Amino acid sequence: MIKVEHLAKSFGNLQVLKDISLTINKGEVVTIIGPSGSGKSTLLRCLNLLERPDSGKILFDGTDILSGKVKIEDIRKNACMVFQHFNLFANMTALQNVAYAPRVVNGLSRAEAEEKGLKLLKTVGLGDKADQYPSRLSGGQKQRVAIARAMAMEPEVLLLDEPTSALDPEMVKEVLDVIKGLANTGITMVLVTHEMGFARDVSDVIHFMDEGYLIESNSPKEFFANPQTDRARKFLSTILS
Amino acid sequence: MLDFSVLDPYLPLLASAVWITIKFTFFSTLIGFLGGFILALITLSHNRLFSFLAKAYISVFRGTPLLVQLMLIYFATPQLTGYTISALEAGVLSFGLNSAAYISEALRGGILSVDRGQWEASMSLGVPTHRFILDVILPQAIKNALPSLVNESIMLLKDSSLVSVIGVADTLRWADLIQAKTFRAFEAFIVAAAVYYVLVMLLNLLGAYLERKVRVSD
Repeated sequence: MIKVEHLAKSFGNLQVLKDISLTINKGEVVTIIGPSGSGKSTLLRCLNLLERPDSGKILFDGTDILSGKVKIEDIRKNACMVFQHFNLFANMTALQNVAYAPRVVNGLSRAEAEEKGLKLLKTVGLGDKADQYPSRLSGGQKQRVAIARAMAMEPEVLLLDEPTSALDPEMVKEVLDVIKGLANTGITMVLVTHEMGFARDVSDVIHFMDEGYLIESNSPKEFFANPQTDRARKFLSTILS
Repeated sequence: MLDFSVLDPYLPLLASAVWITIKFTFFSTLIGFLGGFILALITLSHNRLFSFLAKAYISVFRGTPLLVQLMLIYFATPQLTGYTISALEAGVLSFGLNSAAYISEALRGGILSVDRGQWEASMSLGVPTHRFILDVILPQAIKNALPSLVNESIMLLKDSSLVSVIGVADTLRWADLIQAKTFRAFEAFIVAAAVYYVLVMLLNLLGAYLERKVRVSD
C-alpha cells in the first residue's frame, strides 16, 4: 500500500534519513524502533508530509505523493497521526476534538460527526469524558482522545509517533491496550515506540533504524530472538538488559 | 450655585450623543479587531515583504498621536481623493486603523502562545489552514489576549471623545455645546464625565463576563 524508495532528508547539515526504502502492506502493523536521534520520527512524519523529504519517492497506492500532483490535505486525511504530546485542540471538549475533522474535512453534519465521535470515545473507554476539556484529562486519557480523533477520519493508515513516551508509567498500559485493540481490527498502522515488549506483541514487521539508515527489517520473532546485525544486537542488549 | 436643571432641555440630545459614543466605540473596536487579527497573521507569516509592511504600519500608527491621525484622515481625504468624508466616518476609520495596530500586538502574543503541536495535529487530519486558524487558533488567541482586548476597547471608548474636535456630536461635544449656550461648565462636563465612567464600568463588566466564559476550557 505504501512504498518508500530511497528517501533522504536533512535538517541543515545533519542528514537524518539516508536512502530509506521499505514497503508497508495493507493491514500490517509496522513498528519502527531504534536509538534516539536515529530518524524514526522523521521517517514517520515524512509519510504524511509533516516533513518534506529532500529526495526519494513515497508511493501511496502507486501514486507518488511527492510529485505535487496530489493535494496534500488528501494525503493527510488518509494518514492521520497520533503525537507524543497528544496535541489536542485546547479550546474543544474531548468530543469536539474527535468530531471536528470529520465535520470540516469530510463534510459530516454536526450530529453525524458527534454520534460517530461518541462511539469512538466509548471504544477508547472515555464515553463519560466527552464533555471534558483536555486540561481536565490525564495524559493517558488525552492520548486516548487523540487516538479516537485520528480514527474518526477512518484513515487508510494510522501513524503513531511515540504515543506513550510522554506518559506517566501507570498510564502507559491503558494507551497500549487501546492501540492493541486497534491493531487487531486490521487497520494499517505505523508505530514508532520504545516499548519493546509491546512492539514484539503487536507488530507484523519491525524496522530497526540507526543514524538515519534502515538497518534491519524482520518479523518481531526473528528480530528479537535473532538480530542479524551488530548494531541491532547492541541496541537490544542495552534496552532489554 | 450648582443647578443641574439647566441641563433638562438638553437631555434628549444627551441620549443621542451617548448613542453616538457607543456606536463609535463599537465600530472602531470592530475594525480594530478584524484589522488587528489580519495584521497579526501577516506579521507571523513567512512572507518577508508583507510582514515588513505590516510591521511598518504598526510602527507608524503606534508612533504618532491619534489626534494627528484623525485630523489627517478627516482633512486630507477630501484633498487627496475628492471624497468628502463625514466626521463620523473619519473618526471610525482613524480609530479603527489605530487600534488595529495595538490589537495586533495583543493578538500576536495570543497566537504565539498556542502551541505548534495543535497546528501539526490539524494538518495531520487534513484540516485546511483557514479553518484551523478560525476554529482553533482564533478562539485561543482571543482567550489569551482577552484582558488586553478589553483594555483596548476601554481606551477606545475614552479616546472617542477626541472626535468632538472635528465636530462629531458625541458626549463631550454635547457638554461643550451646553457650556457655550448656558455658560455652565461644571454641570455639563461632570455629567459627560459620569457618562464615560458608567460606560467604562459597563465594559469592565462585559469583560469580566467574557473572561469567565472563555475560562471554561481551563
